[in-house]
Amino acid sequence: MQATWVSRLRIFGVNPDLVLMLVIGWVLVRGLREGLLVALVGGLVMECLTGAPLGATTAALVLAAWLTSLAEANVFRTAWYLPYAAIVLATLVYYGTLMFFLRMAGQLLPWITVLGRVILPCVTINLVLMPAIYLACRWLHRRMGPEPVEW
Amino acid sequence: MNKPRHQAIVVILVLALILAWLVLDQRGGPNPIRDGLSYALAPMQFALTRAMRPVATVTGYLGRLSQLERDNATLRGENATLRNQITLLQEAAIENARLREQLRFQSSVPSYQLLSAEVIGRDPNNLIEYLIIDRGADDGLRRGMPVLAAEGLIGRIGSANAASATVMLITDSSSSVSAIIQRSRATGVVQGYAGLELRMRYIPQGETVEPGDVVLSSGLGGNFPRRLVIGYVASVEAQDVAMFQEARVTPAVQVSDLETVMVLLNFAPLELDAEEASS
Repeated sequence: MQATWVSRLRIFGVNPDLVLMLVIGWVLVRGLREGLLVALVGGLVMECLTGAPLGATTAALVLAAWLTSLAEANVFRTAWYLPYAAIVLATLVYYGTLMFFLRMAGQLLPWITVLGRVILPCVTINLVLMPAIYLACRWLHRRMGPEPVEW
Repeated sequence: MNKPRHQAIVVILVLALILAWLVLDQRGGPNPIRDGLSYALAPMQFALTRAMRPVATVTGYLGRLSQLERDNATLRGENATLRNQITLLQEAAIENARLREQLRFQSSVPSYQLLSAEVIGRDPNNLIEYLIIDRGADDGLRRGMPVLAAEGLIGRIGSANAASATVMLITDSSSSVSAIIQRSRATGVVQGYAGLELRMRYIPQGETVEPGDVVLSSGLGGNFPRRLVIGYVASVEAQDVAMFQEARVTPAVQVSDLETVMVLLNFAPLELDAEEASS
Protein backbone atom coordinates (compact mmCIF):
# COMPACT_ATOMS: atom_id res chain seq x y z
CA MET A 1 0.00 0.00 0.00
CA GLN A 2 2.79 2.41 0.93
CA ALA A 3 4.60 1.83 -2.40
CA THR A 4 1.55 1.80 -4.66
CA TRP A 5 -1.61 3.49 -3.40
CA VAL A 6 -0.10 5.87 -0.82
CA SER A 7 2.73 6.87 -3.20
CA ARG A 8 0.06 8.35 -5.50
CA LEU A 9 -1.26 10.43 -2.62
CA ARG A 10 1.19 13.33 -2.80
CA ILE A 11 0.43 16.20 -0.45
CA PHE A 12 2.86 19.15 -0.22
CA GLY A 13 5.15 17.07 -2.47
CA VAL A 14 5.48 14.17 -0.02
CA ASN A 15 3.64 10.95 0.81
CA PRO A 16 2.21 10.00 4.22
CA ASP A 17 4.31 7.45 6.11
CA LEU A 18 1.67 4.78 6.54
CA VAL A 19 3.99 2.09 7.93
CA LEU A 20 5.53 4.48 10.46
CA MET A 21 2.07 5.57 11.66
CA LEU A 22 1.00 1.95 11.96
CA VAL A 23 4.08 1.08 14.01
CA ILE A 24 3.59 4.03 16.36
CA GLY A 25 -0.14 3.34 16.70
CA TRP A 26 0.61 -0.27 17.58
CA VAL A 27 3.27 0.69 20.14
CA LEU A 28 0.74 3.01 21.79
CA VAL A 29 -2.07 0.45 22.05
CA ARG A 30 -0.19 -2.85 22.41
CA GLY A 31 3.16 -1.93 23.87
CA LEU A 32 6.76 -2.01 22.72
CA ARG A 33 7.14 -5.75 22.17
CA GLU A 34 4.40 -6.03 19.56
CA GLY A 35 5.28 -2.60 18.17
CA LEU A 36 8.82 -3.76 17.51
CA LEU A 37 7.49 -6.83 15.72
CA VAL A 38 5.35 -4.63 13.44
CA ALA A 39 8.38 -2.37 12.86
CA LEU A 40 10.55 -5.35 11.91
CA VAL A 41 8.01 -6.89 9.53
CA GLY A 42 7.04 -3.52 7.99
CA GLY A 43 10.68 -2.53 7.69
CA LEU A 44 11.69 -5.76 5.98
CA VAL A 45 8.85 -5.45 3.46
CA MET A 46 9.84 -1.86 2.76
CA GLU A 47 13.48 -2.89 2.31
CA CYS A 48 12.39 -4.92 -0.73
CA LEU A 49 10.86 -1.83 -2.35
CA THR A 50 13.24 0.94 -1.44
CA GLY A 51 16.49 2.21 -2.84
CA ALA A 52 17.70 3.23 0.62
CA PRO A 53 20.76 1.45 2.04
CA LEU A 54 19.88 -2.05 3.27
CA GLY A 55 18.65 -2.00 6.86
CA ALA A 56 18.19 1.77 7.04
CA THR A 57 14.39 1.72 6.90
CA THR A 58 14.05 -1.11 9.43
CA ALA A 59 16.53 0.55 11.78
CA ALA A 60 14.69 3.88 11.50
CA LEU A 61 11.32 2.24 12.25
CA VAL A 62 12.69 0.24 15.20
CA LEU A 63 14.40 3.30 16.68
CA ALA A 64 11.26 5.40 16.26
CA ALA A 65 9.17 2.69 17.96
CA TRP A 66 11.59 2.34 20.86
CA LEU A 67 11.90 6.07 21.50
CA THR A 68 8.13 6.45 21.31
CA SER A 69 7.69 3.77 23.97
CA LEU A 70 10.21 5.59 26.17
CA ALA A 71 8.32 8.83 25.78
CA GLU A 72 5.01 7.07 26.38
CA ALA A 73 6.28 5.72 29.70
CA ASN A 74 6.50 9.30 30.97
CA VAL A 75 3.01 10.32 29.88
CA PHE A 76 -0.40 9.06 30.98
CA ARG A 77 -1.74 6.66 28.38
CA THR A 78 -5.06 8.40 28.41
CA ALA A 79 -3.57 11.80 27.55
CA TRP A 80 -5.38 13.00 24.43
CA TYR A 81 -2.26 14.44 22.89
CA LEU A 82 -0.23 11.22 23.18
CA PRO A 83 -0.70 10.00 19.54
CA TYR A 84 0.04 13.49 18.21
CA ALA A 85 3.18 13.96 20.27
CA ALA A 86 4.29 10.42 19.49
CA ILE A 87 3.98 10.78 15.70
CA VAL A 88 5.81 14.12 15.65
CA LEU A 89 8.67 12.62 17.65
CA ALA A 90 8.66 9.39 15.62
CA THR A 91 8.69 11.18 12.25
CA LEU A 92 11.65 13.32 13.28
CA VAL A 93 13.54 10.28 14.59
CA TYR A 94 12.64 8.22 11.49
CA TYR A 95 13.90 10.79 8.99
CA GLY A 96 16.89 11.68 11.14
CA THR A 97 17.95 8.04 11.16
CA LEU A 98 17.35 7.65 7.42
CA MET A 99 19.42 10.74 6.69
CA PHE A 100 22.20 9.44 8.89
CA PHE A 101 22.29 6.16 6.94
CA LEU A 102 22.15 7.98 3.60
CA ARG A 103 25.03 10.20 4.70
CA MET A 104 26.98 7.08 5.68
CA ALA A 105 26.29 5.70 2.20
CA GLY A 106 27.87 8.79 0.69
CA GLN A 107 24.77 10.74 -0.27
CA LEU A 108 25.09 14.45 0.31
CA LEU A 109 21.69 15.68 1.43
CA PRO A 110 21.16 19.39 2.04
CA TRP A 111 19.91 19.15 5.64
CA ILE A 112 18.13 22.48 5.81
CA THR A 113 16.38 22.02 2.46
CA VAL A 114 15.33 18.48 3.34
CA LEU A 115 14.05 19.62 6.72
CA GLY A 116 11.94 22.37 5.18
CA ARG A 117 10.71 20.61 2.06
CA VAL A 118 10.45 16.97 3.10
CA ILE A 119 10.53 16.38 6.86
CA LEU A 120 8.27 19.19 8.07
CA PRO A 121 5.57 18.48 5.41
CA CYS A 122 5.78 14.80 6.43
CA VAL A 123 5.35 15.71 10.11
CA THR A 124 2.28 17.78 9.20
CA ILE A 125 0.64 15.08 7.06
CA ASN A 126 1.40 12.31 9.55
CA LEU A 127 0.01 14.50 12.33
CA VAL A 128 -3.24 14.98 10.41
CA LEU A 129 -3.65 11.30 9.54
CA MET A 130 -2.46 9.83 12.84
CA PRO A 131 -5.84 9.99 14.65
CA ALA A 132 -7.42 7.75 12.00
CA ILE A 133 -4.57 5.23 12.18
CA TYR A 134 -4.61 5.34 16.00
CA LEU A 135 -8.36 4.69 16.09
CA ALA A 136 -7.92 1.79 13.65
CA CYS A 137 -5.18 0.34 15.89
CA ARG A 138 -7.41 0.70 18.97
CA TRP A 139 -10.29 -1.01 17.15
CA LEU A 140 -8.00 -3.89 16.16
CA HIS A 141 -6.66 -4.03 19.72
CA ARG A 142 -10.18 -4.40 21.15
CA ARG A 143 -10.94 -7.19 18.69
CA MET A 144 -7.69 -9.01 19.43
CA GLY A 145 -8.24 -9.28 23.18
CA PRO A 146 -6.25 -8.26 26.24
CA GLU A 147 -2.87 -6.65 26.00
CA PRO A 148 0.06 -8.86 27.06
CA VAL A 149 1.59 -7.96 30.40
CA GLU A 150 5.11 -6.55 30.07
CA TRP A 151 7.55 -6.80 33.00
CA MET B 1 -99.31 8.76 -24.12
CA ASN B 2 -98.69 5.54 -22.17
CA LYS B 3 -95.25 4.06 -21.75
CA PRO B 4 -95.39 0.96 -24.14
CA ARG B 5 -96.64 3.12 -26.98
CA HIS B 6 -93.91 5.61 -26.36
CA GLN B 7 -91.30 2.84 -26.52
CA ALA B 8 -92.74 1.48 -29.76
CA ILE B 9 -92.44 4.91 -31.39
CA VAL B 10 -88.81 5.14 -30.30
CA VAL B 11 -88.08 1.64 -31.69
CA ILE B 12 -89.78 2.48 -34.98
CA LEU B 13 -87.87 5.75 -35.22
CA VAL B 14 -84.56 3.98 -34.55
CA LEU B 15 -85.38 1.27 -37.10
CA ALA B 16 -86.37 3.94 -39.63
CA LEU B 17 -83.15 5.76 -38.95
CA ILE B 18 -81.10 2.58 -39.45
CA LEU B 19 -83.03 1.79 -42.64
CA ALA B 20 -82.43 5.28 -43.97
CA TRP B 21 -78.72 4.96 -43.05
CA LEU B 22 -78.49 1.64 -44.94
CA VAL B 23 -80.25 3.07 -47.97
CA LEU B 24 -78.08 6.17 -48.02
CA ASP B 25 -74.96 3.98 -47.61
CA GLN B 26 -76.10 1.76 -50.51
CA ARG B 27 -76.49 4.79 -52.75
CA GLY B 28 -72.85 5.62 -52.21
CA GLY B 29 -73.39 9.36 -51.83
CA PRO B 30 -72.99 11.58 -48.79
CA ASN B 31 -74.67 10.25 -45.66
CA PRO B 32 -76.13 13.12 -43.61
CA ILE B 33 -77.10 10.77 -40.77
CA ARG B 34 -73.57 9.40 -40.37
CA ASP B 35 -72.11 12.88 -40.74
CA GLY B 36 -74.49 14.32 -38.19
CA LEU B 37 -73.78 11.55 -35.70
CA SER B 38 -70.05 11.85 -36.20
CA TYR B 39 -70.25 15.58 -35.74
CA ALA B 40 -72.19 15.14 -32.50
CA LEU B 41 -69.99 12.33 -31.15
CA ALA B 42 -66.56 13.68 -32.06
CA PRO B 43 -66.15 16.02 -29.01
CA MET B 44 -67.31 13.27 -26.70
CA GLN B 45 -64.92 10.79 -28.29
CA PHE B 46 -62.09 13.27 -27.94
CA ALA B 47 -62.88 13.97 -24.28
CA LEU B 48 -63.26 10.29 -23.47
CA THR B 49 -60.05 9.37 -25.22
CA ARG B 50 -58.14 12.04 -23.30
CA ALA B 51 -59.71 10.94 -20.04
CA MET B 52 -59.01 7.27 -20.63
CA ARG B 53 -55.43 7.66 -21.81
CA PRO B 54 -53.80 7.61 -18.31
CA VAL B 55 -55.97 4.70 -17.31
CA ALA B 56 -54.96 2.84 -20.46
CA THR B 57 -51.33 3.65 -19.77
CA VAL B 58 -51.53 2.37 -16.20
CA THR B 59 -53.35 -0.79 -17.20
CA GLY B 60 -50.78 -1.25 -19.98
CA TYR B 61 -47.96 -0.88 -17.49
CA LEU B 62 -49.57 -3.28 -15.07
CA GLY B 63 -50.02 -5.79 -17.85
CA ARG B 64 -46.37 -5.46 -18.87
CA LEU B 65 -44.88 -5.13 -15.38
CA SER B 66 -43.05 -8.42 -15.31
CA GLN B 67 -41.79 -7.84 -18.85
CA LEU B 68 -40.62 -4.36 -17.83
CA GLU B 69 -38.77 -5.78 -14.84
CA ARG B 70 -37.00 -8.28 -17.09
CA ASP B 71 -36.18 -5.54 -19.60
CA ASN B 72 -34.92 -3.31 -16.80
CA ALA B 73 -32.61 -6.00 -15.48
CA THR B 74 -31.32 -6.73 -18.99
CA LEU B 75 -30.76 -3.04 -19.73
CA ARG B 76 -28.98 -2.50 -16.42
CA GLY B 77 -26.67 -5.38 -17.26
CA GLU B 78 -26.06 -3.99 -20.74
CA ASN B 79 -25.47 -0.52 -19.30
CA ALA B 80 -22.86 -1.87 -16.89
CA THR B 81 -21.16 -3.80 -19.69
CA LEU B 82 -21.13 -0.76 -21.97
CA ARG B 83 -19.79 1.50 -19.22
CA ASN B 84 -17.05 -1.03 -18.61
CA GLN B 85 -16.29 -1.17 -22.32
CA ILE B 86 -16.16 2.64 -22.53
CA THR B 87 -13.70 2.73 -19.62
CA LEU B 88 -11.57 0.04 -21.27
CA LEU B 89 -11.66 1.89 -24.59
CA GLN B 90 -10.68 5.15 -22.92
CA GLU B 91 -7.79 3.36 -21.20
CA ALA B 92 -6.81 1.78 -24.52
CA ALA B 93 -6.86 5.21 -26.18
CA ILE B 94 -4.59 6.65 -23.48
CA GLU B 95 -2.25 3.68 -23.73
CA ASN B 96 -2.36 3.95 -27.52
CA ALA B 97 -1.31 7.61 -27.35
CA ARG B 98 1.53 6.72 -24.97
CA LEU B 99 2.73 3.88 -27.18
CA ARG B 100 2.53 6.08 -30.28
CA GLU B 101 4.70 8.62 -28.50
CA GLN B 102 7.18 5.89 -27.58
CA LEU B 103 7.09 4.56 -31.15
CA ARG B 104 7.79 8.02 -32.51
CA PHE B 105 10.74 8.28 -30.13
CA GLN B 106 11.92 4.79 -31.12
CA SER B 107 11.76 5.66 -34.83
CA SER B 108 13.76 8.85 -34.19
CA VAL B 109 16.57 6.77 -32.68
CA PRO B 110 16.47 3.45 -34.58
CA SER B 111 19.76 2.29 -33.09
CA TYR B 112 18.17 2.09 -29.62
CA GLN B 113 16.76 -1.25 -28.58
CA LEU B 114 14.02 -0.18 -26.18
CA LEU B 115 11.85 -2.26 -23.87
CA SER B 116 8.62 -0.76 -22.60
CA ALA B 117 7.79 -1.24 -18.91
CA GLU B 118 4.90 -0.26 -16.65
CA VAL B 119 5.49 1.69 -13.44
CA ILE B 120 4.05 -0.47 -10.65
CA GLY B 121 5.23 1.44 -7.60
CA ARG B 122 7.35 4.16 -6.11
CA ASP B 123 9.84 4.19 -3.32
CA PRO B 124 8.02 4.20 0.03
CA ASN B 125 10.63 6.60 1.46
CA ASN B 126 10.22 10.30 0.86
CA LEU B 127 13.99 10.84 0.79
CA ILE B 128 14.62 8.32 -1.99
CA GLU B 129 13.57 8.77 -5.62
CA TYR B 130 13.10 5.32 -7.09
CA LEU B 131 10.43 3.74 -9.28
CA ILE B 132 9.49 0.07 -9.41
CA ILE B 133 8.78 -1.33 -12.89
CA ASP B 134 7.23 -4.59 -14.05
CA ARG B 135 10.25 -5.85 -16.03
CA GLY B 136 13.25 -7.56 -14.55
CA ALA B 137 16.32 -9.68 -15.19
CA ASP B 138 14.16 -12.25 -17.03
CA ASP B 139 13.47 -9.55 -19.65
CA GLY B 140 17.16 -8.76 -20.06
CA LEU B 141 17.40 -5.84 -17.62
CA ARG B 142 20.71 -5.22 -15.90
CA ARG B 143 21.81 -2.72 -13.28
CA GLY B 144 22.83 0.60 -14.78
CA MET B 145 20.78 0.42 -17.98
CA PRO B 146 19.39 3.87 -18.88
CA VAL B 147 15.64 4.41 -18.48
CA LEU B 148 13.90 6.91 -20.74
CA ALA B 149 10.57 8.46 -21.57
CA ALA B 150 9.68 10.07 -24.88
CA GLU B 151 10.56 13.48 -23.38
CA GLY B 152 13.99 12.48 -22.16
CA LEU B 153 16.11 10.72 -19.56
CA ILE B 154 14.47 9.43 -16.37
CA GLY B 155 17.21 7.49 -14.62
CA ARG B 156 18.84 4.10 -14.65
CA ILE B 157 18.15 0.62 -13.35
CA GLY B 158 19.14 0.47 -9.68
CA SER B 159 18.59 -3.25 -9.18
CA ALA B 160 16.91 -5.98 -11.20
CA ASN B 161 15.01 -8.91 -9.70
CA ALA B 162 13.64 -11.71 -11.86
CA ALA B 163 10.30 -10.05 -12.67
CA SER B 164 10.71 -6.45 -11.50
CA ALA B 165 13.35 -3.77 -11.19
CA THR B 166 13.96 -0.49 -9.40
CA VAL B 167 14.80 2.64 -11.34
CA MET B 168 17.00 5.25 -9.68
CA LEU B 169 15.66 8.59 -10.91
CA ILE B 170 17.99 11.38 -11.93
CA THR B 171 16.40 13.48 -9.18
CA ASP B 172 17.67 11.08 -6.49
CA SER B 173 20.44 12.63 -4.43
CA SER B 174 22.82 9.77 -5.27
CA SER B 175 22.37 10.25 -9.02
CA SER B 176 24.84 12.11 -11.21
CA VAL B 177 24.91 12.41 -15.00
CA SER B 178 27.61 13.98 -17.15
CA ALA B 179 25.89 16.75 -19.06
CA ILE B 180 26.37 19.38 -21.69
CA ILE B 181 24.49 22.60 -22.46
CA GLN B 182 23.24 22.22 -26.04
CA ARG B 183 23.69 25.86 -27.08
CA SER B 184 27.05 26.76 -25.54
CA ARG B 185 28.54 23.21 -25.28
CA ALA B 186 29.45 23.94 -21.65
CA THR B 187 29.94 20.74 -19.69
CA GLY B 188 29.06 19.85 -16.14
CA VAL B 189 27.47 17.19 -13.95
CA VAL B 190 23.73 17.04 -13.28
CA GLN B 191 22.99 15.82 -9.78
CA GLY B 192 19.76 15.15 -7.95
CA TYR B 193 19.02 17.60 -5.18
CA ALA B 194 17.31 15.77 -2.31
CA GLY B 195 14.81 14.31 -4.75
CA LEU B 196 13.36 17.74 -5.30
CA GLU B 197 15.09 19.11 -8.38
CA LEU B 198 18.26 18.90 -10.45
CA ARG B 199 21.44 20.91 -10.12
CA MET B 200 24.07 21.15 -12.85
CA ARG B 201 27.40 21.60 -11.12
CA TYR B 202 31.02 22.09 -12.21
CA ILE B 203 30.19 24.38 -15.14
CA PRO B 204 33.44 26.26 -15.85
CA GLN B 205 33.44 29.99 -15.16
CA GLY B 206 33.29 31.98 -18.40
CA GLU B 207 30.88 29.59 -20.11
CA THR B 208 27.54 31.16 -20.98
CA VAL B 209 24.53 29.43 -19.52
CA GLU B 210 21.09 30.99 -19.72
CA PRO B 211 17.64 30.08 -18.47
CA GLY B 212 15.83 27.93 -21.05
CA ASP B 213 19.00 26.25 -22.33
CA VAL B 214 18.57 22.56 -23.10
CA VAL B 215 20.68 20.21 -20.98
CA LEU B 216 21.73 16.94 -22.66
CA SER B 217 23.68 13.93 -21.47
CA SER B 218 27.27 14.24 -22.67
CA GLY B 219 28.17 10.56 -22.63
CA LEU B 220 31.36 11.29 -20.67
CA GLY B 221 32.17 8.50 -18.26
CA GLY B 222 30.24 6.01 -20.35
CA ASN B 223 27.31 5.57 -17.97
CA PHE B 224 24.70 7.14 -20.23
CA PRO B 225 24.44 7.51 -24.00
CA ARG B 226 25.01 10.92 -25.53
CA ARG B 227 22.35 13.47 -26.47
CA LEU B 228 19.52 12.40 -24.19
CA VAL B 229 17.47 15.35 -22.98
CA ILE B 230 17.85 15.79 -19.22
CA GLY B 231 16.02 19.07 -18.75
CA TYR B 232 16.07 22.82 -19.14
CA VAL B 233 18.05 25.44 -17.24
CA ALA B 234 15.77 27.28 -14.81
CA SER B 235 18.31 29.66 -13.27
CA VAL B 236 22.06 30.13 -12.99
CA GLU B 237 24.05 30.82 -9.84
CA ALA B 238 27.45 32.27 -10.68
CA GLN B 239 29.79 33.85 -8.13
CA ASP B 240 33.01 35.63 -9.02
CA VAL B 241 34.89 33.91 -6.20
CA ALA B 242 33.68 30.39 -7.03
CA MET B 243 35.57 28.07 -9.34
CA PHE B 244 32.46 26.85 -11.10
CA GLN B 245 28.98 28.00 -11.98
CA GLU B 246 25.90 26.10 -10.89
CA ALA B 247 22.51 25.91 -12.61
CA ARG B 248 19.11 24.79 -11.42
CA VAL B 249 17.64 22.43 -14.01
CA THR B 250 13.98 21.56 -14.50
CA PRO B 251 13.68 17.87 -15.47
CA ALA B 252 12.32 17.22 -18.96
CA VAL B 253 10.15 14.40 -17.63
CA GLN B 254 7.55 14.90 -14.93
CA VAL B 255 8.15 11.66 -13.04
CA SER B 256 5.05 11.98 -10.86
CA ASP B 257 2.80 11.43 -13.91
CA LEU B 258 4.73 8.51 -15.39
CA GLU B 259 2.90 5.27 -16.09
CA THR B 260 5.22 3.66 -18.62
CA VAL B 261 8.94 3.97 -19.24
CA MET B 262 11.44 2.58 -21.76
CA VAL B 263 14.61 0.73 -20.83
CA LEU B 264 17.53 1.03 -23.23
CA LEU B 265 18.69 -2.57 -23.58
CA ASN B 266 21.63 -2.22 -25.97
CA PHE B 267 23.71 0.09 -23.84
CA ALA B 268 26.20 -1.30 -21.34
CA PRO B 269 27.39 1.24 -18.77
CA LEU B 270 31.19 1.30 -18.55
CA GLU B 271 31.43 1.15 -14.77
CA LEU B 272 29.33 -2.00 -14.74
CA ASP B 273 31.45 -3.63 -17.41
CA ALA B 274 34.47 -2.92 -15.23
CA GLU B 275 32.69 -4.34 -12.15
CA GLU B 276 31.71 -7.48 -14.03
CA ALA B 277 35.19 -7.90 -15.46
CA SER B 278 36.75 -7.64 -12.01
CA SER B 279 34.25 -10.08 -10.52
